[in-house]
Amino acid sequence: MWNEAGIPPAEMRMIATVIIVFCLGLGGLLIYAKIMGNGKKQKE
Amino acid sequence: MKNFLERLIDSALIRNFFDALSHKNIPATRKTFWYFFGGLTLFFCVIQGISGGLLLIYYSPTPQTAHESIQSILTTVPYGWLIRSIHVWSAHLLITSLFIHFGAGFFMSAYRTPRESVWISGILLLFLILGFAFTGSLLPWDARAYFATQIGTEIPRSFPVLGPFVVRLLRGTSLIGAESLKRLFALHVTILPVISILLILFHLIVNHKHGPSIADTADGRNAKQIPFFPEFLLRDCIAWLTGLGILLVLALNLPPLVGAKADPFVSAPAGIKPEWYFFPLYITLRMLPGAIMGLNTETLINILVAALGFAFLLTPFISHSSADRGGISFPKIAGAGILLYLLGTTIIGWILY
Repeated sequence: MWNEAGIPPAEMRMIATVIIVFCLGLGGLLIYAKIMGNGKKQKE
Repeated sequence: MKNFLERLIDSALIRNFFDALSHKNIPATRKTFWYFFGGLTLFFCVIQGISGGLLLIYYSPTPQTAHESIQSILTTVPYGWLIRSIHVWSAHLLITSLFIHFGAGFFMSAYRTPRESVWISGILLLFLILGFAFTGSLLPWDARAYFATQIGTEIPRSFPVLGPFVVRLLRGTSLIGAESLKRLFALHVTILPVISILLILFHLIVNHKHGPSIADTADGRNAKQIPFFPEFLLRDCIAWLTGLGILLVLALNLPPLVGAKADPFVSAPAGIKPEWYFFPLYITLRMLPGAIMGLNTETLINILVAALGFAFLLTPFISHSSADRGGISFPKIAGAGILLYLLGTTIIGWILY
């Protein structure tokens, strides 16, 4: 299944990319929510 | 175990560390965006250290085994292709982020008193990182790596007095061979990392001591301040996640392959060119004639590059500006000219060669 250079097929790598970008994006959103929450607390 | 962790967190060293970070303030202005590139550069340095350490387990630095060991990393080591791809792409992103960090610092006059030590250590780190890139490029020992390093190590030869010594020091022999690979490998994995770690620590400590560079403008003076810990660090985390995302997208989808094994007895294949960050030097040498006013062009370029390096190193003392009032100064005009030249030659290198 893997090519001569030992690299998995493009479809597999694309799926991995989508999963990773989704997880990182979710992590980023959680941190952003925390920053917004901190800002609101400071205003109060 | 819990007791131990509690004691560790409560220890004076850790407490002082977090206290120091929470008392450090960062101005929240329109220019704050540019501050993230310092942290991003450090992030890619850490990635380089980890991925490089993993590659080191399987890499073998001799002309007989170097290429085979890279092939083995790609084909037989579990996820070896990914680790190598991350190492290569992280190097590109590190240099990009470093150039942006340097440019932002320059145009925001981050070299002003009392930050001279931060600036000088930063410029030295810029040269060291380019040194990492240069010494690492020979390690795959394929035709491109071999001939690009052969040409690259030839350039300093025409530098007055020191040139031949530098070439000899890098190569060990008259042409690139086993000795050169050993020397560049030693530089890449031990000498440069040790110097870089010490210099990065110094850069961070003096930066912490003197605080961030704040423009002496109405915008800068009246800027709202946010604590470094946790407010700025949280924003830094978003920058790191973005950097990690870009790195993984590139590493997963565009893994760099390795060419045919280097053979010193055949002629250089057509189209050999250096990495993009050396394009300005490469394009300049290609565009100019062999001699200018009777002087060897390579000698002139060598002197010019050294002078430029010193000029950037000594910018805090040349500028004599203790305040950035948002005006146009000579260093900024010269810097803008140099930036345009670097961008122009890099684009020409990409398109034409």
